[in-house]
Amino acid sequence: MSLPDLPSMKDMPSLSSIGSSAAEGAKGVYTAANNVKLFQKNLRDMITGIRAAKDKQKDYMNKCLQDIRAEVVSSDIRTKAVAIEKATYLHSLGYNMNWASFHVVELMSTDNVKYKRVGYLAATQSFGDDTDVVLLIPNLLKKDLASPNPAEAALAIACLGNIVTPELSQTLVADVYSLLNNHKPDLRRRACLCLYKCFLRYPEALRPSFARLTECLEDDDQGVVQAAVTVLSELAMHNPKTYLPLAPKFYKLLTTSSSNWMTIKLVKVFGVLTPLEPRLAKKLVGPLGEILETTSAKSLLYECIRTIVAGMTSQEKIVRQAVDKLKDMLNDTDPNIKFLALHALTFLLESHPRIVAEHKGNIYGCIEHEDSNIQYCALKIVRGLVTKKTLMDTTALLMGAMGKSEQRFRDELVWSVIHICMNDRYALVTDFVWYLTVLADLVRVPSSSHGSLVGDQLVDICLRVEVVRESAVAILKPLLLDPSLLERSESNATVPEALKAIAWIVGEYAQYVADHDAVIAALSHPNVANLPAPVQAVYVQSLLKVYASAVSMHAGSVRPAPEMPAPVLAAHEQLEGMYVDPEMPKSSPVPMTASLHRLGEKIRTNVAPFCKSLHLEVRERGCQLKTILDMTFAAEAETPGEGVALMEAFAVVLSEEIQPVSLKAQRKVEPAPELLLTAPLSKEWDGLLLSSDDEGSDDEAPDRKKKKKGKGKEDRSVTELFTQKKSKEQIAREEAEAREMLQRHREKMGQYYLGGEVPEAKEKKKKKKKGDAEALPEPEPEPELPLYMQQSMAGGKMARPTIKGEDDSSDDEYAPKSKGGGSGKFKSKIDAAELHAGLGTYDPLKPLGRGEEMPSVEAYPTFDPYANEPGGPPTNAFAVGAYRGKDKKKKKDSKKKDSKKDSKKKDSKGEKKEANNADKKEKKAPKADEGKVKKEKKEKTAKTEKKESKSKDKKESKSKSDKAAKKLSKVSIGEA
Amino acid sequence: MIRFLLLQNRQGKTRTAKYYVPMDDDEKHQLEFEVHRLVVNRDPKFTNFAEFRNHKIIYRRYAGLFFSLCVDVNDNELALLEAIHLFVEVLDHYFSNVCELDLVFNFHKVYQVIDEFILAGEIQETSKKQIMERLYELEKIKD
Repeated sequence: MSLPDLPSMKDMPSLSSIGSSAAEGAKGVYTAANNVKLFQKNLRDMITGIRAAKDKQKDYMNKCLQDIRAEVVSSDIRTKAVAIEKATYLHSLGYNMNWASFHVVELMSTDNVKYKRVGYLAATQSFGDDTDVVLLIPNLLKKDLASPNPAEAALAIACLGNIVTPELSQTLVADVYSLLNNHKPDLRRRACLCLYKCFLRYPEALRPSFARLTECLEDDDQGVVQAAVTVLSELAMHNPKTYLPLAPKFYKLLTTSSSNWMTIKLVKVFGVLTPLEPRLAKKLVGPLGEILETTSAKSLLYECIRTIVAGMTSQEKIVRQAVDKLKDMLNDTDPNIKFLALHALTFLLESHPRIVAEHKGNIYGCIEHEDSNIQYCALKIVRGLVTKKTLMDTTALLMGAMGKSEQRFRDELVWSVIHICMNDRYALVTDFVWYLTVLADLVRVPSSSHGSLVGDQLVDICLRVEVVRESAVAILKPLLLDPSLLERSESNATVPEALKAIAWIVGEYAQYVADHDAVIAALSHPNVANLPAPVQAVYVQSLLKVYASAVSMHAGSVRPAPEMPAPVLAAHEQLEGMYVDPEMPKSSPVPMTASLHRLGEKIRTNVAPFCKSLHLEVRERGCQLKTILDMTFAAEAETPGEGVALMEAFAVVLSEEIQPVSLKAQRKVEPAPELLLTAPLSKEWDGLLLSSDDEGSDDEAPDRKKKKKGKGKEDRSVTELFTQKKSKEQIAREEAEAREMLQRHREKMGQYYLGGEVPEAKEKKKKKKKGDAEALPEPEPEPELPLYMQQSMAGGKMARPTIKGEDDSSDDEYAPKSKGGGSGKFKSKIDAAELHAGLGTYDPLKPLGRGEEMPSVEAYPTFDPYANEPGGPPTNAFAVGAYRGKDKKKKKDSKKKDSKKDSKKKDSKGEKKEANNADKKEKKAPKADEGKVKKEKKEKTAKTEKKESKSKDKKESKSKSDKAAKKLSKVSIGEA
Repeated sequence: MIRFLLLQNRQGKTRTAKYYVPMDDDEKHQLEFEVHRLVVNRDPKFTNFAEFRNHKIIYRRYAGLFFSLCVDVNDNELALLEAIHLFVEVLDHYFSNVCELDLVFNFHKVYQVIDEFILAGEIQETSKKQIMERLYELEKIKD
């Protein structure tokens, strides 16, 4: 510990009184105050100490904090300043210093700039919107803003710019505003910038100060002009339309400006103004063209280019010029420049895709750049540039890039390839077999997170494009057979999702499977158990489909030709016939071959583990399959050919094609003519109709209550009807009816029902709740469709293969999917729009209304912001007589606290001191009152409605400031 | 508008932090942590811009120190990079060959430099000479 530059002898007397007054009252402080400290660590000591205490930094800092707590209450301003400085340093290391905020304010209010600066720094760093002492500083800031010492004013402005709250802004904006007229250009500039922050927190201030702010654009000092441009451009950024009338002024400045920083700001403003006013673009061609040619500053050049590509795309000549510059930037070795050039090009994608396409080579190269910003930006352009002709090349390029890129970008590439192809209902794809091979390759992309997307695409294509199904089976079979895809590993994370689709496709279109043995071996591979349960279930189901198809193919090939075209429509009857009458005459029984039998046996053995699966769905399907096979073999054993016939029947049922159904299909169904939707359902419900009709008149009637009382049974209110209790019998009857109805419906519309009892259960629930579903015509059940089917149904003829659902209604498009993989948007407090939200509603260019002028600023200290408050005590914390003992409750409280401390210290003098204090205050109070009355009179005449509303606000904040005043009083007691 | 300015070393210690938007201490620490993680993992060959929440970070590394500015998305990246460089130049001049320890022991002076350079989230003075003059003036007052 080194000897500090501050002698501490002076501290001794004051330290003795600290114990009684320290607001913190912590024991540590208490003892520290008793051990009179002769030496104070200065900031340098402390920092050295912290750095030296390697392992025990925390302990050391806690000790420092304790010292600081003791030092900060010192009456010696130097000790206090050093303590606060140290606390600020600790705050930067993450230690809270809210406890010291009051001392910070004290330090801020000293006259010595040196200490004032320490206080201001601490305030800037540690005060926030919720710091309560902020209520104490308006007058302090007011005084400093008006200080003749420019250093003090600058300090106050900088501090205000950081910690401004809506209240502070409201109170002080006029003072900042008046600094715009200061003779020092430096202060004018600062005030100008600070005003922007004041507007953000207190938007009402914008309109009255706007005229003066625009005048600053013509200030003699360039710094002030620059500041004004900065503020106005920030304002215009968020609400450009309002600031359009300022364009001529900006234009003039643009042509005369000599500072690049300011020119950048001006060009940026024009970037948001030109899209709103096309004539501006024409006008800007000259100056911007000149800047493009002459400037050497890349930042300015870039800003010009950005403005041109954002709002001046109608001016071909200058766009050309800008793109020429972009070409150079694209070839730059600096990744920053390269990225910005790409970014600028993305703006041109819409308006000038050809010009962008000229730089294709360069852009393609950027996809393999090491920086992800550049990669993403290039990818965005590539996505935008793709046409029918270039689709295959582009896809090949993107697929090639996948091998070299890192995980996240690879995902983005996969996503991009799929979206390029699927966009706009596969508008760009002409060869779907090619697309299937692309998708098949995408399945193999390691660690891809888009397995399910690939799967959906595969199913979608197969469902919609009939002609590719055969090729699809051939293309996808190798994936199914690949055992490495079944392994559970990081790189296969989402592959099962795709395998699910593949297994389904191979099963569904099993008639195209040539090599049944291999497929069945793959489907019943033991490693299938590694897959998630829903995928396993699909595998098991596919086994049945493939086997059935194998059997029926065999039977078909053996059987004489004429029977080949099996009547598909009769599938149902045939199946039912099977069960009802197994002796049904068959055309010509085909006995099962040994190989088919072997195959079936293989399935039977392989499926056994699935029958013990923990997953219900898998288990059920496994058992089902096993039973079916058992049945088949039993039948075959009895009469050769019987089992084959059974299997064939399955095959016929299973081969029924699934059609994509539009979401809107329901709407296209005409209601049956015998369906009377408007006819009353039964007499019992007439009352319901009646009462609902009467409702309008009910409302109008003034004596509604009486009427209700006198109501007959037949016009019961609707709620009554619904809540009335029903007899058990009635409920049972209704339920039975509903069930019957459902049954009928099910028979009729069976194909729309999925397995399971879910719809009925739902129905029951509904009934119990409302009890009114009786006899209502059942709404046609929404056919439950997988996502990929939700598109459309009918097919359209085009040059390329038919895509079912392609020409269906336009409005049930793919919803614009948000980019996959992107991190969720973080709702941040520092959102620009949020900060700026209040400003948008104020049009600064409209003439000022009544009471909207900026309040005049009076010199400190005659100004009393609380003078408007009727009857309340002056809560001006810095007025000497601010605290009077009027509020008894509060005084009691403070007394209590004081007495607690007193009892601790057993200082009998404590009370006397307090009494003295109170006396002093009362003496001063009348003076303050007098001043206040005068002030009030003056103010009343000038008062506007607006101010009244302000005073209301203040009243609310009064309780807060009272608290603060209380705190102040405590300290003054301590110091007395 | 500049939302905040951070000076952090490679280990993630924040040497200087200046916030121009209201935030509580917890959020500040969270931000500092996130920004450090964001910039420290970037290769020197990468661009000096990174998306950050709804804004962007413009950063530049000088020796072991990262100078990061969080700005609005439509702000000019290159201009801000120049601003960071100017700031470093001023620091270098002011502390005559600045090193990390200068910033630790004179943290209050660093804030002084920032205040002369940026005000209320906007760059207020772009001339190195002016800033230096002004800083020397302040030095005189102090003593």
